[in-house]
Amino acid sequence: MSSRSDILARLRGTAVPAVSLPAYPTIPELTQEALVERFRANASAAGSTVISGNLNWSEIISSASPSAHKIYSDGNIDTDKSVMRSFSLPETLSKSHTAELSRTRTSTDNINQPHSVLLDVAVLTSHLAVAENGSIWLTDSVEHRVIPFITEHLIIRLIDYDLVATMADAYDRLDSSLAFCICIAGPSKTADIEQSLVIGAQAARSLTIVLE
Amino acid sequence: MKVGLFIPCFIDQFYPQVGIACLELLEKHGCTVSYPLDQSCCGQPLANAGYEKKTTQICQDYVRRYQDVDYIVTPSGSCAHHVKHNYPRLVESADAQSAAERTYDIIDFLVDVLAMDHCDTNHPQRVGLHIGCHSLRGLRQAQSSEIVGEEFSRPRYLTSLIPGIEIVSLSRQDECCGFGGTFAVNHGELSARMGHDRLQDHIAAGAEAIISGDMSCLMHLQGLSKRKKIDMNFYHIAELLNGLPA
Amino acid sequence: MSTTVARDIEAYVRDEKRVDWHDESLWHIRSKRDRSTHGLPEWEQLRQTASQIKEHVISKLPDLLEEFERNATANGVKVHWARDAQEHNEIVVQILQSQQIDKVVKSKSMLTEECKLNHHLEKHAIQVVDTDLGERIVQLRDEEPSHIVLPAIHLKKEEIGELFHEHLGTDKGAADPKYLTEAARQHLRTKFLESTAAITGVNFAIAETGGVTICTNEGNADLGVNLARVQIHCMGIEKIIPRWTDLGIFTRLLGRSATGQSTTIYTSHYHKPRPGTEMHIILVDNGRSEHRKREDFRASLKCIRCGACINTCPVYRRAGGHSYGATIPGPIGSILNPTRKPEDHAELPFASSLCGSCTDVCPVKINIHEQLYLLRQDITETSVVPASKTRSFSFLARILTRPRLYRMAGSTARWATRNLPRWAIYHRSNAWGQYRDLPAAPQDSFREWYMKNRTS
Ligand code: SF4
Repeated sequence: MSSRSDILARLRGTAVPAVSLPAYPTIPELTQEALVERFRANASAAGSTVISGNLNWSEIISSASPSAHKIYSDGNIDTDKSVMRSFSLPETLSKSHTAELSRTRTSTDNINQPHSVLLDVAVLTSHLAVAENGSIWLTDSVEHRVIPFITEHLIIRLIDYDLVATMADAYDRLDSSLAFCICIAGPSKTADIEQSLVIGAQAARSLTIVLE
Repeated sequence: MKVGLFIPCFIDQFYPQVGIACLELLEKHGCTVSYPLDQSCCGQPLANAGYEKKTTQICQDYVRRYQDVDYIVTPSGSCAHHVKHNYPRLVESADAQSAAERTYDIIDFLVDVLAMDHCDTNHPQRVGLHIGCHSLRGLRQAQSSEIVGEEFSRPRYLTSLIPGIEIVSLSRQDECCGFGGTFAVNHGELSARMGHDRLQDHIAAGAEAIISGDMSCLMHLQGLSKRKKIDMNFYHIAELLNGLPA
Repeated sequence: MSTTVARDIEAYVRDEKRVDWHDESLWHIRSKRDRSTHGLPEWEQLRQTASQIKEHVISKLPDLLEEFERNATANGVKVHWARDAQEHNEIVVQILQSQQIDKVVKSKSMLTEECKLNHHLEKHAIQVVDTDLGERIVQLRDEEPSHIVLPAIHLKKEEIGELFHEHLGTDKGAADPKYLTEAARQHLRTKFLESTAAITGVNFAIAETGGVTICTNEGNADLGVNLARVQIHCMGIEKIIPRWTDLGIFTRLLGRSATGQSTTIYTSHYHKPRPGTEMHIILVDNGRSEHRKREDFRASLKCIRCGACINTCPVYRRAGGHSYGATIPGPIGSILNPTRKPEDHAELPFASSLCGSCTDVCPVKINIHEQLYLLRQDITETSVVPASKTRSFSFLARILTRPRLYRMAGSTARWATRNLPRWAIYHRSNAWGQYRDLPAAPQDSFREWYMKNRTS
């Protein structure tokens, strides 16, 4: 018997009383102002920077990463920096990039100076944000799935967006047939060393959310 | 109202004053109290050790002993919980079911059945309130700190009826004291450590006495503090409600 | 029944300073969990809903697995089935070897810990690097995680500094978490870039869509998966949820229960592989279908591995994760391990005061402490308990069922505490008295008082 049929047969061989699926709890609605206020507060609490109003992209990028030179954007932004509009990942990343990276590791002094591998800053567009945790959603329209993770700093533009109260509302709105989607709720972080919170664990060191 | 008193083994042997306080409190509230003389234990120590099957006789005796009373009241949340929670499964009979339903910890009985709302003893001390885990999460005498919902606490309510008393606030409101029945013996070092942490929390909060509805927790805490020569008083809440002997 | 667990716990507890520190670290997380849940009025409703969804899953498991497989396959994912750990490990090796891959990165997965995948890969000359910081730390130390969410919670920063100095070349004596995390970041980035395959665990697998959801704070799962040619997701069969929208319940519970965060930083949903790459999902039984047969313990299959029961457990906090001698420590581990391997883990259900905090904190409402109680019954009835222990309990049962005998025993004990010298009462063989004094013995028992005062 194949493992598949073996496992299924074993499961079917045990009668377990049926339990029906429950209805979801209903949650009181919030006003748009309350949503925005919550979103801002929760995003900041998670270590994100939220900006809106008059946008100066040169400044936004510089404040995320003063020395940024490899910048990628999935849309048009008005800045004095040179920005890639498309981004190709080399077929094999390994050798050259690893070598580049290990050079920065020869001296421990450099550990605190992030060296540019691939991207310094990525500017991506999102259309969905969640108030209860200050998160934003990205979908497969991102050119490469790895961009939001490999970039040293991440900037998300919320354009034409829905701001919903909870994750439950977000899943309601999202198309479940997306090949890939991700909810990001702040910069990469860890507390694996003695519970001390360190921002910038492995993926993006910072998250800037721009409300447009 | 006919009430049968159930006095757990260790209270009978070491804390008779707690049994007396319960008896007198119930009588003051107009209950006709009986105390079956042939009682021993609810069987919990064995059951917790994994030998509940050996306790069927103990359960049956309990059920039979209290056939004729309206309520069975005991000054031990832990025993009441064991009877209510496990007896109907151990002895599958209508009588066992009925005995389980009629069994009350004294705290619940005073609040829910007798609706006690005043107390004329007084106790001018700062006390720390320890609610045993079985009373808290088994009998739901109070809202546990994990659950999100309205706050309530029967032991706190009763304690607050006592004139002059002040309840200190603890840093870990409902941390386990580490008694846990056979656990106290099988994992003595750990159990003692848990107890010391619990004591320390009360001491740091400025408690002059630790009070509880669970005498087994108090026996453990008292034993630890005596060993370490820590000066602390321990009372069952019923003792304070009834008034300490002058 | 061995007594290794009791011995290891005792040894851990003796280090009072470390216990202070360990207990405080975990209590801190429990407090964060309280702060984030108490701000959410619908919390208990969420728990109830999640619990019922999971009960539904357990009842419909075979159907849901087939639905999942159908939808995942339609998405271009290759689905594998493994009866046990061995078969799971062989499937992973076979996938990697068929692509000539000898370096792989792995994000956190308790399932692969359970299957001891790393050892198996190393035996086949495949380099595996755990990329979650905590997991990497314990991997470098060649030990097991001591917690399912916080693998290195047992280590002090100085110990990690020492380890990194040795393995990653950080400055000697450096123990600043920021500095050490940065060093790990650089180290792990080289590993991400040189690996062509990535293995991850799975938090939720959605039957309706055939996709998997992975939650991390570091983003390490996504870095691995999205740089690799081959992505492999390993999951226990109980990780299924029926509907896409069920994620709206579970993601709200998971982060808050685990660390008090309103959500994990990254919640990723993988449905289809990137063009030109492969995506595999391995469905692993390894004892789960047997476990599901046991009515009393079935509900523990609802577990979403948030770790909340571990953080709140007054025993775990003072005993340390390694004392449990099992892949999953803490309250839920004390059910899962002995349910599946009673011969190795019979002691675990007894290492609990049955305080029930685990049950109240559990986001899927598993009756953890009740199951521990029932498991104790099960173990004394079925497995090897020393005859001396059974004998002493039979003796106790005889005393307790014979009121007269009981009264004799009681008054002898009281007489003894009043009249015998301390050394006779507090002998080492008296486990109670080793740590505690007995109460001052009264002249009369309650019964004696009652006879004198209430009977005529
Ligand atoms: S048993 Fe409950 S609290 Fe414990 S890890 Fe599993 S889901 Fe979390």
